[in-house]
Amino acid sequence: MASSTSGSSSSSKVVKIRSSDNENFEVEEAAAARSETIKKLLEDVGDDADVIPLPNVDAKTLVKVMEWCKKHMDDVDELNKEEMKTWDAEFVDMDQSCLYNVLLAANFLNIKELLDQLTQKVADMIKGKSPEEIRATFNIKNDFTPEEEAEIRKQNAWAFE
Amino acid sequence: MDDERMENWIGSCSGKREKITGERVENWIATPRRTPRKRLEITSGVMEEDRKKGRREKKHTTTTSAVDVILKDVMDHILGKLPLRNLVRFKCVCKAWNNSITRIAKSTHGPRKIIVSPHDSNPYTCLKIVDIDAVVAASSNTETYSDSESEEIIQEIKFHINLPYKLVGSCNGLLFIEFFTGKKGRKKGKWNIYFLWNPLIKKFTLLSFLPPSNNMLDFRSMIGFGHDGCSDDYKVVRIFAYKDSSFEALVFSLKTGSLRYSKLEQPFSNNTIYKFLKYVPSMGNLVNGALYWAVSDFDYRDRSPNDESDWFEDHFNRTDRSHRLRFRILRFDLADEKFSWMQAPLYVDPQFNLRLMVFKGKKLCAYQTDRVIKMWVLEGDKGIEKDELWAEFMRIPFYQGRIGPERNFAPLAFMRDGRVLVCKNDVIADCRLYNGVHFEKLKKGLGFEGWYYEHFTYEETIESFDRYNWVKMDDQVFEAMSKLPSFKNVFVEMSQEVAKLRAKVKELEKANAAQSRYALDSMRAELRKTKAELDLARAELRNAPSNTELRNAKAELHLVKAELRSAPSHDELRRAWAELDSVRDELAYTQAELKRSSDTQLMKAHDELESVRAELKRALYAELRKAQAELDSKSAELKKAQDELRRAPDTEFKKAQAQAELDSVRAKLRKSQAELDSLSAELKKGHAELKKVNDSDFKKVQRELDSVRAELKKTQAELKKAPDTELKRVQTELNSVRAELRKAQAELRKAPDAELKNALAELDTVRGKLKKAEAELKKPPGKRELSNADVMERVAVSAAFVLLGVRILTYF
Repeated sequence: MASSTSGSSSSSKVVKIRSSDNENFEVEEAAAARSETIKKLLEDVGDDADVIPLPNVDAKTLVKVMEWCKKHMDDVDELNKEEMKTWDAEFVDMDQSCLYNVLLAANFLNIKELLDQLTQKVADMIKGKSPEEIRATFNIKNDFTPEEEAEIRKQNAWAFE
Repeated sequence: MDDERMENWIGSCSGKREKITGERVENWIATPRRTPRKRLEITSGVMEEDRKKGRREKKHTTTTSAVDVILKDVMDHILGKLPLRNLVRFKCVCKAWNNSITRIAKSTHGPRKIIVSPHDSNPYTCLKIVDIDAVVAASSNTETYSDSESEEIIQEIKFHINLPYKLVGSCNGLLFIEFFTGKKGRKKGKWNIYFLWNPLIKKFTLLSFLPPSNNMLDFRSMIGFGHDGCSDDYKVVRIFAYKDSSFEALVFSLKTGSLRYSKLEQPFSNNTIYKFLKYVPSMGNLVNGALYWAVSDFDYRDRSPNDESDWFEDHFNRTDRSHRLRFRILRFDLADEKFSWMQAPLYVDPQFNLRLMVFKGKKLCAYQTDRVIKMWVLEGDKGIEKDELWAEFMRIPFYQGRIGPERNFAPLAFMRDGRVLVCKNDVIADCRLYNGVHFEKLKKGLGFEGWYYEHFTYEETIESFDRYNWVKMDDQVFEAMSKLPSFKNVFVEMSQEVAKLRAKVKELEKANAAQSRYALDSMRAELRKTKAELDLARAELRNAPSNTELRNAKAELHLVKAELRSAPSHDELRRAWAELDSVRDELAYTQAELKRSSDTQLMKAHDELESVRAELKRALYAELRKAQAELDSKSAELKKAQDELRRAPDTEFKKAQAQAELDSVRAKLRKSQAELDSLSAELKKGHAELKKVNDSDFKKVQRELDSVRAELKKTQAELKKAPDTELKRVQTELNSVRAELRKAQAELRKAPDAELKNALAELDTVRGKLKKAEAELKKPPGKRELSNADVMERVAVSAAFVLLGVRILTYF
């Protein structure tokens, strides 16, 4: 099985995509099709696809996403599993604004596996945090009255130990 | 985290998204299409949805928080990946999160874990909850986990309670633990204590006792615990094999709190299950809503040391098929609560016990440890007796090829990648993964010891039992327990608490005893009083005037009836009737006589009249004839005279002579005429006289007859009038008596009813008071109600706890 390096066979057709800031990219179809959204669009518009506009993904994010897609273009065999794991771990280790942008892009582009990895990353990040830290992180306003909050804490005391 | 940056990010996201949705749709529409119409419809549908979403978001973005912007499903996705403890902690972040998390937490399970519990329970051995995937991953990753991680991965739980215990079931994150209260911690306690425990949320529930229905017989038992999805109920099954070979099941429903006993059929001819259960683990395996236990009609460990017979040989020589008749699998369907027996897999070896475990949470697995570990998986999940049901799916050979101690190897878990974790019972560190070809030894063992152990799969859940009412049983204690910070102190404090509670209860009971005794006495006095009142009321009711009146009326009625029966009226009437009859007879007789007499008289008169008439006629006729004859002779003389005259010459003389002669004849005629007239007058007179005589006589008779008739009528009328009036009088009297009677009865009926009702109402109020009094008496001093049974149970449990508390104290 070929690795994810650029097209070596006839199957590696290229599709053009355009980011929200009007940058065009050429991506191998197999990589782009990791996104269910793009895959569907390609099916819809057929072969003579113009540039596919991705209006909610900026160029910087799109580069990241496509990097992942290229890496995950082919099925990974047993021997490369470990290597892939390490690569994935390094991939998701990005700064937070970038992480959230890629997360949203993955959601929009409907790339399940990537979404899984990213949500896991976010989950791991917030796991140890207190509710106050969570509110600060996500800029959430506490809409409980102090009594209500105390009641919830009381009811679930075991989780706050 | 840089807040400003985050906000910017969120802000940009939200702005972007709004703009994008509109743009995207437009772009989409602008894109040239050459695809079939159908597909277009689908995408346009999607776009429509997107558009709606966009609009909705646009409306609300000004007020919604950042969470709504990081799409809700992405957030749910992230939350779903959090460990339950963290997840629940975030409930108090905001209301939206609280709602989402409440929903997510219900269906989220923690990592798959295995709980290992020693089979030979010693009060101070511990349970281990092992995150098996983490252990295996850590072991293969070559990196050892840190101590804090280690605590997460292998969680040790010690019950600081001086009772041997055993884990006997696990389901939906709940552990089912049995504490043995038998002598010297022997297992087969009739009054063993059962706990349900959620180790994650640290909630306990004490279940009811599950005693055998037959208290007299020795027994051994198997137990099972599982969730019935159909009725959302947790059920506990305890199966008793009695010494007398009877076999019984007890099903306890947590939802209803009901205990149901039912007889079970024995699968083997001899009473071998009782013997079999002596050593063999007896926990049910929960698969797809059913519990399974394997039993056999023998146990090789049961063989006496002096048994020199070729016991094994005998069995080896038999065909393989016959062997499996020595094993049976009991299945209990949690939903319909029915038991059934299933065949064991083909080619089981009669030498070794057949054990059951759960295969990947979905199927029942049977295994036997012989020279190899043979494993079968039950393909169907119904109790159909078919050979194909069981499929042998793996044989695990032993790496050293020795038979001896390897026997104690057993499969512990099936990994997601298909490998099987095999562990040796007696060597702590010896756990191996078998992938079908070779073994890989885990670098770190699971840290349990002992020869036999039980293991269950376990997943963290937040399942609690609040929805079952019966749990409230000992709320205070359990609340106190669940509030305790560390598990280590739970039982110590619990026992103290129990002792305290007990002392408090005793004190309060003592304090209340006098009070309650006084209350009881006063209640009793009241009761007595009310009883006396009731008796009085009853007596009154019995002697009520209405009753006496009724009785009087009855007596009167009787009297009247008697009178009526012996009344003269009857005789009189009869006599009157008789008189009437006789009068009638007389009347008839008189009439007849009258008729006869009048007839004869009349006839006589008639006859006389007739004879008079006849004489008169005869006389008249005779006279007439004489007169006629004279007349004739005269006429003849006249004729002769006339002739003579005529013959004589018309002389005057002759004329004169003839004239003279004619005159004399005429005078004579006149004279006879007169005579005839007088006769006629005489006849007429006779006639009149006769008539007169006749008429007067007749009239007299007639008159007499009339008077008789009148008399008769009068007597008849009198007769008629007399009995009628008497009868009428009697009847009216009778009627009036009846009316009185009726009135009396009605009164009687009305009167006693009302009185009786009053009495009953009084009785009821009295009873109510009595009940209330009893209830009050029963009520313990505190808030809770303590029925006798509760007290007994509480005392039993608290006695146990106090005992153990004391032991703990000595231990510490």
